[in-house]
Amino acid sequence: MKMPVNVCLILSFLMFGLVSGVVAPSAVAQVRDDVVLGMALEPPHLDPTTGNAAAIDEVVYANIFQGLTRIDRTGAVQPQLATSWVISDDGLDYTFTLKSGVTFHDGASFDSRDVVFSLERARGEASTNGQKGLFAAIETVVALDPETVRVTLSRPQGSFLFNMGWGDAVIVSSQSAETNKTNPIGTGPFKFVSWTPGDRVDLAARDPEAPIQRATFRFIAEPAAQQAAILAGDIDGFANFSAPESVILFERDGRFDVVIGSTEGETILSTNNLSPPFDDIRVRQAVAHAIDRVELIEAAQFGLGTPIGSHFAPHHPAYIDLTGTYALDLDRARALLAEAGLTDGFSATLKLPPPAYARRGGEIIAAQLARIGIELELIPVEWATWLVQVFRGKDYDLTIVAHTEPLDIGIYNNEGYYFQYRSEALAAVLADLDRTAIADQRFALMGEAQRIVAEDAVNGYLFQLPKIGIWRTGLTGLWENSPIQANDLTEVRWQ
Amino acid sequence: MLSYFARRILVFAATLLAAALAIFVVLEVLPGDPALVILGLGADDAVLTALRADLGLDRPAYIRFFHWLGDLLRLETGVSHTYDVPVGGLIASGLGVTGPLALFAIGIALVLGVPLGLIAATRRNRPGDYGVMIFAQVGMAVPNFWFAILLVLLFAITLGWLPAGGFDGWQQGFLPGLQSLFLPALSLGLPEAAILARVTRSAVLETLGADFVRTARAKGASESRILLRHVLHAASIPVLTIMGLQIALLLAGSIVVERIFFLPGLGKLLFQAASQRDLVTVRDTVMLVVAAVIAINFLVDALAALIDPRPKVSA
Amino acid sequence: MTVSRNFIIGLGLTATLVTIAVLSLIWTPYDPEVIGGSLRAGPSWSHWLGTDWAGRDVASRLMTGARTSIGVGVVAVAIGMIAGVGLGVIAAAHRNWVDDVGMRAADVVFAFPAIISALLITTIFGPGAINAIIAIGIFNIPVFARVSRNAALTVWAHDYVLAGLAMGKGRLRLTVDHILPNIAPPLIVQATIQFGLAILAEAALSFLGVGVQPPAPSWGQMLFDSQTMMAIAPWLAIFPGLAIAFAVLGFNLLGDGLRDMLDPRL
Repeated sequence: MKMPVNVCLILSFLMFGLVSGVVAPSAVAQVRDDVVLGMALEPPHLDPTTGNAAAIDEVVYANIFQGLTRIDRTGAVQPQLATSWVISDDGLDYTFTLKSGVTFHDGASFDSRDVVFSLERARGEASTNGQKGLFAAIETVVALDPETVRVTLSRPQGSFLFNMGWGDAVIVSSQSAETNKTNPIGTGPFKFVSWTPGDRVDLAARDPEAPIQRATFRFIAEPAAQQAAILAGDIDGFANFSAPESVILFERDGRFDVVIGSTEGETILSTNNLSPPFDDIRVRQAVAHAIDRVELIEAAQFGLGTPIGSHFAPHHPAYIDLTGTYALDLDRARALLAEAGLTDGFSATLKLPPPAYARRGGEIIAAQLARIGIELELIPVEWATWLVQVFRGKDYDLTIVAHTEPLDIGIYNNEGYYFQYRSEALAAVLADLDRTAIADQRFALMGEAQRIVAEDAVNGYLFQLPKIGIWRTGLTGLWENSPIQANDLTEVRWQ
Repeated sequence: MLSYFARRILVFAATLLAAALAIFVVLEVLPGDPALVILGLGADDAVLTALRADLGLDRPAYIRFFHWLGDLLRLETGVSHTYDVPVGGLIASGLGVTGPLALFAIGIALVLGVPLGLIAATRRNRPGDYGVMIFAQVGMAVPNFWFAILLVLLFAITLGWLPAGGFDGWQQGFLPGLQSLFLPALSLGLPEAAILARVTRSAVLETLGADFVRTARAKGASESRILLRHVLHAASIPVLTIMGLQIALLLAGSIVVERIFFLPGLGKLLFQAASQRDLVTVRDTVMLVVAAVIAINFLVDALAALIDPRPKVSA
Repeated sequence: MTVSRNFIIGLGLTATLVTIAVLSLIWTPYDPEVIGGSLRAGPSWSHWLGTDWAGRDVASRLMTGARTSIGVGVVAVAIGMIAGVGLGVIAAAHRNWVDDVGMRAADVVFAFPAIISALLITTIFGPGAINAIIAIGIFNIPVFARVSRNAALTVWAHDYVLAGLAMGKGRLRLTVDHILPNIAPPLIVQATIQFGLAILAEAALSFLGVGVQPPAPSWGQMLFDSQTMMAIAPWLAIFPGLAIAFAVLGFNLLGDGLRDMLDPRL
């Protein structure tokens, strides 16, 4: 009578054995020519000249698309499709000499007409470019001959060559510009192969001799899944890993290299400067005095992150340390609140977008502000809601977000920006900065701007977001820092 | 009989229509502007308006509802806001993962649950029975996502036997595909196995006491023959019914499990689309899931009616 | 009526859970929301179950989390019971269009897997405990509607009820007098089981990030937080999972035991 039962049991054990017993064979000792990198966010499409999603650049920049110039791993401007350039004495005319023999992936040849087309398209009336401001100073773009282009500016712009290195300024072909969203055609060393929405983008090298022949970007949003995927060998690494808490684990594991660098992300407690009581500078100063950056970074970031006192990256030469402007001082904070007529404290909302730095940071900030009587209600929101409610609707008191564009202190002067902050002094300094091309003077003006926003306590300045690179030992050439949002594969190879 | 089925089919169609209406109404109130999400930070207002018109968001709601119904009848799907491709393709590739995953999970549930239920029933009130019942209770109480995490920690991270997640498709071969679905299917299938073990046990106990079993026994049939020929056959009906009802649970569970194992299935598609306000994708995916549940319930009802014509009077 | 073993174990587990939840109202070892101190410390004499990433005491958070789970269970089951039983007994009493429409509506709601409808509701109205509870409660409505309708139909078939009808008693009157008392046992059993399911559903939603929001502690959300810290702080993942499993086990056993005692036919 036990027959059928036992047969079933044996069957079930067989099934377990079959599936779990088969161990993946270990990798053969041979230099690999493929790489699989993880990314937290999936790009909405693959055209870097439309929209603002950083994830697009992280796939296509320098790999599929190239610009006149490029920004290298140190943040310096390098020649790319333009091999050299001459700047007129008044700083208005830029004459670019273009690389010859370049073709797009579809076989179309690259020449000066493509440059004219791309820049006109980006700055034109119907442009959907996410960074139209990069092209604001351009007056005309003229093709002098197939390998020479002259760009004339309406005013001198110290950052013009840097601007032309952004992902938003890459050169596209008029034949493929419309379809780049789903089938990107550029001049870069990697061709687009396929995109499986929700999962991955595959690229292939154009040069059959290149050390990396196949590259895959996989999209894994959950920090836990990211960690599991690396540990299980499903992916070779993350250039920008989301979970600082996992660093200890990977450092202990000899199979991986952990490289902690810096991003351009100033992580700030963005404050609605028109929303009472935050319209009172004393209240904002009280908040600044109550923030304990050391505790915040230790708890929410597991010790990773550099404290900042203003909206500026610490690795930039023009950086000045303003963390002492409103040092941690709870008595002073309470006194400032009392001066503002809020002896008993008050309550406000703190909207938190999905990244862990915001969600965890929000819990710590709420606990810290509670010490001076400010009760924060934490409201987690998805990015879509955040964009509509906070960024565009300005319907918020406080939020935590990392501003990852390089050198973006200019946003404080943007009309209608979600901080809702106005300062004549800052406007004047930034106007001077725009007109100045000499490095020392520019740095001094940048320092002045940092000081103004710090002293006005526009936002709570928390820390510079670290770039946590984790990849298999033997993989080299990935960037340590991210001066711009990119996963440049051109120097990546296996040792 | 025929009029009964005509009525059931009418009810089936009405239920589908009501579900479609519910989904549409619910999604109409979603906050968040898909156009803004597509363009991202710093989008131009003129561009936004143009894109909204492009997406058809400027038309009145009832017109959009009827358009959608028309599409549904022609089995056409909308275009995903996020990916700018037809949702049908996204759903198809999601089904390519979720489908096999659900089948695998059901397979595990059957292979584990039915024999365990049999063991328990044939050893009623003996240690074997208690063991199975304890397994069933624990299996139903342990959250599948916690179980999934523990499985990853043990099999993928500590032992390194199985992938921690991801799915490379079947083109790598059947076995590798099965391997990468094994842990997710196990974490989905185990609670199902627990439920099946209980159902099988009580169904078998009930049939063991039935007249025809006693008759067979009196005729001298061997116990194993009785168990195989009569009892298992009779018990298969409640087991199949329960499995039909569990499909909904399985599809819902796959949302959580697919997130843990980052499988690009329907659950992940739905979760991601919801957070990106990709309304068209959410709408069509939820409709598919709900329609599947309704259709399976309809089939189970119809099968039950065919096998046993008694409950025809009222459903 | 014999007291079943399932009932005793189930009662023990659920009583422990309720005691802990009530106790947490007046006492926890530490304030569950105060951060700082020793971050991510393992279980010790001062912190029995360790501390989490922000230095909060895990034992205290689990105790407060029990309150969350019970609260979600009570409200979700209450929503499902009040609306579902109301619908069910009215449908059974009249057997007219109310029955048809009500039961069809229940079918429609039932076709939405709980997590999917909860996901929809929380994406629309924002993630949060209240919305999660409502979503779980709505999912409970058709469950109770079906159980109460079927049970009520059996009672309606009894001679004494039909006699009452013949004597001119109103259907509402009969429902209150005879139907509701008689369908209580299966409803109590169902409520206990749905309670356990509600705890599981809340944990799953909080785990997905759309349920109870920090800093209010919830077991599912504690599990979500712990995922990436398994290697450095495994206790963060073990204890909340155990808590969920024991709570659900308790309610399931209690439901089974009650069924054995109240309604041996099922």
